[in-house]
Amino acid sequence: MLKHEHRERTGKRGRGAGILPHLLAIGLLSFALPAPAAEAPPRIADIVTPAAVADVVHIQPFTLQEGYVFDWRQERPRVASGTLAVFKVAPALVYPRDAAEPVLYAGNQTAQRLNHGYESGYVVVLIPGDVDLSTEPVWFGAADLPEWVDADTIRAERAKAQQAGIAPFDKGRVRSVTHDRVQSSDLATLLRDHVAEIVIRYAPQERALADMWQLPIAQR
Amino acid sequence: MNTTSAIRPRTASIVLAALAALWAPASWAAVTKTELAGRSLTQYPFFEYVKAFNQNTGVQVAIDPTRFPAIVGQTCDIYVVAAKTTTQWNTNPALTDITLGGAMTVTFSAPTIQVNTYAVTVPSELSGNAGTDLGVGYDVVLDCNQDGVLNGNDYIDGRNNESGFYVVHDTTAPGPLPVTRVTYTLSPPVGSTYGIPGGFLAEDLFYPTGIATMGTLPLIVISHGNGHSYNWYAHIGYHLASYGYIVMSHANNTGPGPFNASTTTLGHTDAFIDQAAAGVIAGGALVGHVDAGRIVWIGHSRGGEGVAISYDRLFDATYVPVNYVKANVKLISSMLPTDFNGPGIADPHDANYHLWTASGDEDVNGSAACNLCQTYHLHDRAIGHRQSTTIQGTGHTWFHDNGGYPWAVGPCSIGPTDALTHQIQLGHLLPLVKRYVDDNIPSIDFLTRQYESFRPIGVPTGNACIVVSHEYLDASVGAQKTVVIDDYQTQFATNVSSSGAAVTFNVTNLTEGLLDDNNSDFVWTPTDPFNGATQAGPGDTSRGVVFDWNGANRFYEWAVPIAEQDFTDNLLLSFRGAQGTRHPYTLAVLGDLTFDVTLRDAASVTSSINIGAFGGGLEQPYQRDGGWHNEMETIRIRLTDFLNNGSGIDLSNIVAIRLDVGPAHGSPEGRIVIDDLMLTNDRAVYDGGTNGDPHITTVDGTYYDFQGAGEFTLLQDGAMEVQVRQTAISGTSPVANAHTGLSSCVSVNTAVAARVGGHTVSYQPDLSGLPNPSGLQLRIDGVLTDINALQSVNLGSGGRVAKSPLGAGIDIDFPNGTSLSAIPQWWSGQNKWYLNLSVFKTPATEGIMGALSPGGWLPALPDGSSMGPRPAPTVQRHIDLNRTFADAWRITNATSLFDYAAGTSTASFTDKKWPPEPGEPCIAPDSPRVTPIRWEVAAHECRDLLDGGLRHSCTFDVAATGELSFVKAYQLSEKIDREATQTEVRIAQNPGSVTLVALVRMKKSGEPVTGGTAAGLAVGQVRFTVDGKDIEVPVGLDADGQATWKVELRAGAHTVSARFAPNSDARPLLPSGSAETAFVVR
Repeated sequence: MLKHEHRERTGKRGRGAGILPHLLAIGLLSFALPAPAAEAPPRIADIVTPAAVADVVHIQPFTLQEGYVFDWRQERPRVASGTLAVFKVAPALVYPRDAAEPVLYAGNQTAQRLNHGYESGYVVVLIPGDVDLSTEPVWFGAADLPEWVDADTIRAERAKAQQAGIAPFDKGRVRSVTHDRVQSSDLATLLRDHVAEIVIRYAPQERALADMWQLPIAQR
Repeated sequence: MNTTSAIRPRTASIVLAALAALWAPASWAAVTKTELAGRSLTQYPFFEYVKAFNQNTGVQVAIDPTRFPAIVGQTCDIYVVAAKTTTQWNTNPALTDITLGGAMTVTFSAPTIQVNTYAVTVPSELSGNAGTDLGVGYDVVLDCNQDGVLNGNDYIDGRNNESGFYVVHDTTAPGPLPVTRVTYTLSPPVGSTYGIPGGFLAEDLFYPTGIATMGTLPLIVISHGNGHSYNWYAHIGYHLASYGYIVMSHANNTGPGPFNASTTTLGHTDAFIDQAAAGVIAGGALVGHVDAGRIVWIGHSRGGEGVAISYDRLFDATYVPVNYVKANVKLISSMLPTDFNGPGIADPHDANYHLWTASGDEDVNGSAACNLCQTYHLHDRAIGHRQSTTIQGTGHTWFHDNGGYPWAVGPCSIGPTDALTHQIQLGHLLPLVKRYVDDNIPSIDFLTRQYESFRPIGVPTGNACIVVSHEYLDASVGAQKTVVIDDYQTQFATNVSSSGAAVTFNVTNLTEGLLDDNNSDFVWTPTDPFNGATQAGPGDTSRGVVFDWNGANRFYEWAVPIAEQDFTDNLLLSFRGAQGTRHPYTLAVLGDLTFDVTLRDAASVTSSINIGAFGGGLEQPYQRDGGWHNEMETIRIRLTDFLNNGSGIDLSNIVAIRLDVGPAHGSPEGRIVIDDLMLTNDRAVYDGGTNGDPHITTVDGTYYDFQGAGEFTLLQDGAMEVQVRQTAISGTSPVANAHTGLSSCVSVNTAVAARVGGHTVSYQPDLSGLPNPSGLQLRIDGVLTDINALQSVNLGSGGRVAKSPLGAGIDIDFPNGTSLSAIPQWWSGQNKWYLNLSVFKTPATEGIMGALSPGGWLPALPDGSSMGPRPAPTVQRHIDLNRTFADAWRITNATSLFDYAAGTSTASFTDKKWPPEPGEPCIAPDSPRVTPIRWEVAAHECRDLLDGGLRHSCTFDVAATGELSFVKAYQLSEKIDREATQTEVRIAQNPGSVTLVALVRMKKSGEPVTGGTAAGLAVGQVRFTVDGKDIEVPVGLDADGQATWKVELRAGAHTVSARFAPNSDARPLLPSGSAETAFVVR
């Protein structure tokens, strides 16, 4: 069951004040007012990482009867359970581009970004395993391809994030946005039956993504 | 038909002419096949022969009186007729003009092509309504005896599978077919089976609404880029589907990177073929309609890199699809691709590859500081046919249809809507797909001609911001195909070309090197000579040359290697070039840059053509902030254009190609990059074969059995034709042929006949009809000829009949470059000779060995129509193949090239009921019953054959008949395939001496014969014969497969030939000899 009350809290930061100096200036400027579609995104060279995410608004563990290959890191682990999360982010960090983009990390994992989020300021992600976001930091690392990122890269990026003062979310905040575990037969069904609604709720501009997951299944 | 006793009184005589005699020319006059249709130019060569005309332009016809002096003074009727195939012209040579004014009567005169140029149609006079095809074909005839029939000394542009010209419609406009669009997702289990991630199962499908009545249609797969969506390519989907293609755009897993995107492309392609066949998709509408043998991959951005990676994974066999193979991918087109992965991964290898580049792209921006953003890398890695289209003023997202932030920067934008970009995109995408999926002929004009002179009708002409540049490289290799003079990939010294010949120049600041800007900006600096070049990235090897000039006339000249000095085998001179980014000389003259291309022959005669003559030069680079990458453009000049207006140059003996730059030759100053100088052809050449119980390998590689009894056109192309006689045998095939699915009674090839230039050649059993194991009989123009005595008979214009190097059999060379080997074997049990026939390097595509019609299961019929897809019922397949198809390709008494005894004709060898229907007994007249043997036993007998296809055919024939002589026949066929050589002679005249060069190449591959043993044993030697006398000293082959001999000869006429004798201890090769070549020492 989804809880919707957190939408109203999106203006609040769930992090300590120490994060602020490490957020890129462009990201902060555009944080409160998501950029319209035709506004120029920043040049990738102007984006400073590591950069924190602004808030977490939804956390929900999930379990799949049939796991899937997590292709957002080089080792491609098989994932049968994980964490569905929604982060509030600076739109400038998540403009989709075909050149390299900042990689979103959560603890010792990369996060699989399901939507773009540059219009809404919210990114819906899947993180392998049951990650505790009150003890594990979430941040944008250097622009790269997630399929190239391995454990060594994550370690290095995490060290940079810690050096930059990027801390985990507040325990209370995490507790308040955590939902009951959801179970699905497989990833496609999880997206169709559950995540689609979350995308529509937090990033209504990307309804087409949810519609895609909910297309009729080709069958005889 | 030649009825020997009636019209050939010399039948019984045996002609023993001099060795290598030139056979007397045929008495009848020959129609001349040449280019005629084109458009006039304002400067030399004053006319451009082309294949495609936009419907809204008129057609002109021109002939150069200095190339065809016989035309001067003749009054001829110019006919524009609906195009006919070879067979249609042969059976109906009557001329029917289809222009509004009817045939135009003109009198041709000296001295220039300009005075012999005539407008034969006005704009929109001829129909370009080709339905789903690209253009309507027309032939042009100069009827110079004015009898309304193609004959005599007439001239024709057309007369084969290539029409004289094509009128094309607006390629930006939708096709004629209504389109159905369906969106859906694959089921999770299907996704799992094919490795497609759970969130990326969606597909957006477009197909002709009336597909139920259509055959199989090619499959176009679109893989979007990062931040894009599967349903943002409806403009492509609707467009191509309306022309008869199935288009599927799929959700693409680009977020992790292009490698994962490639996994999605591979999986969706595989799953779609499977699910469409299973009736799961579109309510089963596609069942039986997806042609998995013709697949096109189109990718955008990361998806554009992904499709190249996909092919690389097929190439490396690290991904093995279930429902298609690498060879089924006929084209890859990458729109603005990234290059994260570099060579060896993001690598199109030998695929037909096309690249789109948007010069205003702000995402994959092509900048010097971003290697992964440089689109040209993938293009330059491709080693198949490759081409690129660069569009200025457009951005990254205007290639899909979703709007949003355009990722576009720079001046002179052709946005902000995507309309103009889409027009250019669709207008070129249709011909591009047709080129590689349907082997469409007029499509090539869209990919190769200067955009300024030929572009899709629907793209506006008045917008100066629309600047498009094309690159095109024909990757055909081997004899009569592409000849690379200099690609800069070897021989890095500036004074030598990659082909090993000298390079001289007085242009300034010349550097050879990697086509890679060596710093992180595009600001000109002398320390970065390739400033702006982005063709090569880290690990790439693409190289070129760059130089400049300023106010003075300068040159850059390639000497032509002796082996390549005969340019008559090729159609075009081709190279690519670009203006140097932000160089002061580029900035000084903003606009297209031009210069002269000059050929010089051995007698120092020169002929020059300015590259601007055809409508434009090298484009001015796009002046965007932070940008200006070099935009390469291919310049192609028809070699015969250099002959116009009596230039006097000898194209058979070109010693140098020169670029003349400077005020007297075009742009007064400039800096340019040059690469890939080559001689090339547009038309491919093919190999084919028909062996044993006729197992035919068509010229496009389809292997099928054809057991009809009678005489058929095996292959034809204009004036060239090969006919074969097949004779029924009382035996049945042991297994069904995989292509036809039929198992039937069998036959064998028992005779072959050919038209070689103006001559007929037949190789057939004793005309008496009595079994004669002493050998088959060769006749030339009906005259019995002892090839054992003559060894070789020159039929002129490159035509020749020679004794086979195998000892028994003959080789025939045709004027159009085709080579045929006929290998006979005596079958004592049947008292018959049978033949294995191998065809090499033929441009011919018509006949029972011809190319399959698009979407058809058999070669096209004589009128060019298709037999359609393979019928499911066995009986219908039998009827289609052995009745309809067979009867269509049977020759007639009027068209037969065979020689016949009195009272016999082609009907005497025809059995229209053979093979009988499946299941009926195989009892052939005059053929004792054969005794089949077990497949395993036959396979054991054929085990030594190396080629799997020949081994299978051998096993089939031995099993079907029990006849072991088939093993020997196949061994000889394999020997021809693997060991046959061909020898050509070139003559280079130097002051005081003549250099004779023999070029020895492998007959099938065209590769130079090189090598030897580790002990230094030469691979073989060449012996020259000059004026009928052997030069005593044999000459060894060098590393390029050439033997060179310098000789002093008095002024006057001489002849030379060469014979190659291999050293059997060094390498298994067959000997070969050249035709005798006449030349004059000045």
